[in-house]
Amino acid sequence: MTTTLPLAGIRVLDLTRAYAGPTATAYLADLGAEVIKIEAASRPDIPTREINFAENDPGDCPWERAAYFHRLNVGKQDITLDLTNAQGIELFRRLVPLADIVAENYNPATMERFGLGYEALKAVNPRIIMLSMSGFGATGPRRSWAAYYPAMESMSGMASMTGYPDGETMYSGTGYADWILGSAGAAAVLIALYHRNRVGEGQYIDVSGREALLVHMGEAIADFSMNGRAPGPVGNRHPSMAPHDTYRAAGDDSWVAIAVRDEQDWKAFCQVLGHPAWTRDERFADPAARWHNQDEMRPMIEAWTSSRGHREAARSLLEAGVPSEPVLDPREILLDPQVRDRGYFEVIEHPVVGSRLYPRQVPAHYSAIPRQGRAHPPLLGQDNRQVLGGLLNLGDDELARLEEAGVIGSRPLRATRGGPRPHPFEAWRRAGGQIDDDYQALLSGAYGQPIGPNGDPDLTDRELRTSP
Amino acid sequence: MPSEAFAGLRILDLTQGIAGPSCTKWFADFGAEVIKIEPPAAGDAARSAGPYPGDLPNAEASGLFLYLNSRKKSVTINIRSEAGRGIVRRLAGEADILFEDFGPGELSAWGLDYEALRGVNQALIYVSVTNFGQTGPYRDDPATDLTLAAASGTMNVRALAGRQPIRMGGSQSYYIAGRVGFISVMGALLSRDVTGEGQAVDVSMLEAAASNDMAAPTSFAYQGLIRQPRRGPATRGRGGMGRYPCKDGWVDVMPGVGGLRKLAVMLGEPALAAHPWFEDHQLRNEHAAEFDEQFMDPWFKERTRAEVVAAAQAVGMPFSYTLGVDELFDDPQFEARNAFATVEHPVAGRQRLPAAPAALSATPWQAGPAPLLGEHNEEILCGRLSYTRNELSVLREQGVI
Repeated sequence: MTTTLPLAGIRVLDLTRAYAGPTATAYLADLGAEVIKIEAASRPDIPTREINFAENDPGDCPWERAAYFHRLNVGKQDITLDLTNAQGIELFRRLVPLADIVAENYNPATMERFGLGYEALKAVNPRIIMLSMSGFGATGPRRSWAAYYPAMESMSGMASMTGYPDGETMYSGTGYADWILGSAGAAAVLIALYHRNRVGEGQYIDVSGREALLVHMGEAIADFSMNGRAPGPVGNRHPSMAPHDTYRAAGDDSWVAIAVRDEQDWKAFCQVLGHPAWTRDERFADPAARWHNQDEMRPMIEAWTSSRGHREAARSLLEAGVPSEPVLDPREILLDPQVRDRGYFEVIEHPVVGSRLYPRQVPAHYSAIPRQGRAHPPLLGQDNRQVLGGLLNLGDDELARLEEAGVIGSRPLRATRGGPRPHPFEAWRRAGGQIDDDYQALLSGAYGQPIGPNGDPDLTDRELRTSP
Repeated sequence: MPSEAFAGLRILDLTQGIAGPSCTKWFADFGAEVIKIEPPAAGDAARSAGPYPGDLPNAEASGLFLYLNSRKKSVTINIRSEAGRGIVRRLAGEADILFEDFGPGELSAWGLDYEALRGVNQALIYVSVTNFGQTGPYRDDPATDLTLAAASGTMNVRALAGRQPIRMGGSQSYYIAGRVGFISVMGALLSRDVTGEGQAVDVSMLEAAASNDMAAPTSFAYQGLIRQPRRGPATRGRGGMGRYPCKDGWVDVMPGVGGLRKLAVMLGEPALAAHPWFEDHQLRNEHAAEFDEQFMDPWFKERTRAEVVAAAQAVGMPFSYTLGVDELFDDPQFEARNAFATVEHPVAGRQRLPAAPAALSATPWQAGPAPLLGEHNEEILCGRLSYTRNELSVLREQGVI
């Protein structure tokens, strides 16, 4: 039995910020690497430490209550080091020989400007693997162009395929391109580690979010190459299956997805809906006819789906062998029996926000690698002493001097733009948004342990300040 | 000659469609030998998915198949026959990794489950890619890309007020499963470098699809937020933010940090930065229509999407516009980075397809054509497993290959 995780002993210097970059290193952390996240006290991870606070309350130390930061940085260590400062760069340079991987998602010229480009890193550590992630890539005429996830989705063509057939194109709304970029970065690093295990050399990896999206658009690009045809937004339409969509179920804004793959599914579907006669209706005689008349079928199908809950509707169809699932919302996915049975969400206790639920970044089950509990998302600079003191032998005096000079620190050195703001929940409610005030009790019941602010109430920003 | 990261690595691939093959594509892309086991006659289901050149169905020219299976080898084996299963067992004895996407437990009836194959090959990594995983109450439910997107919780956010939620374009649940599967398998492969032991890896497409949503479940666990108010159809941008019309379409305007100063520079009048509407967010909102009419519209009207975005990016504003799939091959950045590879295929001819998922300096991605159905029967069965030509004919007559 393997008892250690696959990347045990691999050390990552993680300069990434926001969403895509931290996703890449979250994969490495889940696989057992020692990921040392590096933030500047003058500029902590932006924007993830500045938004979405536990209980929608910024509290005394909002940067330690931020949901997205926690979600993306489970299991990582955290030090502060300001790379706009010569001492910060020098300390970073001293860490490079002790590391296996350097990950970053700055604008492409930035690492060179810090004197920390791949050639410089390689000079101090020939085995280093450097991972650079950006929207447009590190080379080419548009390498300096900036892109958040919507821009990556629109400028790769992905958005052009997404949206209602009769409407505008849409973005994922889930940060898909960020995940795409980060997951491609993680995959590439694992390839480089495999190569290094055999040949002993490191390498430079340049991932573009746009290109990492293209590789998930194979059939659309093939169709253009073969036939000069470009898809528009297709909604839930499938090239051949129909019905193939989401349909209104009972309840407020509740939906069920149904995919009829073939004749067998179609017969079973008509039976379940109580309309066996549809199989003899010439409008639906064969897949092509059903495909052409799919809009006409929507009200006929919704007459059945809208009179039952989305789970109930899906279960009736599944029992007849027809693929169907409720469109789950965030509450429902956390409570889903299948997801819970396989331990997809892990309960981790954080010193400031208490126990919360975090998805496994690598959800696969391994027969020879037992699941292990992960360390809580890190406090700002919590590992300064261990990393800078332990790895670089800096004494307490020196750490104090560095903190004095603003090179390291354990709280942000400046207020965030406009200050941390809670969400306007009341306005959202009035406009039809859904907020469940009972979420802590609900999740505590489902997971059999207290979920919510059961952290140490005495841990105030005074203590946070005194950890160097 | 650059080296290939997976040179010498042997993959036995029993999967079809998108999820499994997009996972093993990573291995083929970076130099592993991937042997596809395809059912005789029809082959991989992706062969009958298209698109086809000229829309003429042809199992050897399906665009989806050609893309997902570049550089792989094809061997046709009927695993419903005992002789076919015997061949798979022998190939598994020499493989580093086996991929399968049958229903949970389905292969154990045929003696091709992990426990059985581990007896032949202690170092084998055995990867199962299934809808819901090998365990759990819903493990045997049927599913498709669409229903997985629904159950993953990632689709819920993508709806306009009063309308049904929609999936991303293309079959993203399947592609996501392929990528998450690859990362998961690399964990087992790197473990094997240390322990010398193989293991079984159980990949759930549902969990893979759920794992790309970075926000929603966390927001619920932290705040009880289920969803923000649904929005209506997009209206044009106002006050220097949102979607603006220009000469040949729409541009997404997002000034970003310090953006209004940059916007003034882009408009060719840096001094405008001192204008009260530029300086004061509140004031600009109050005069949004006038602001647009006076500053935005005249400038945008004169320029194409490409010109607007280039001018904005030149001053550091992350504007963008939606490229159609028909505009990708002409994109100068894609061209400079060889984002598309031209592949010559004996039946489908010359096609351009997406190239590298990532640029690795020492072990770059390599292009190549997808195999014809059963193209490598002789190479693998005679060359690798020492069947004679005569035995091959017999297997063919028996419908085993």
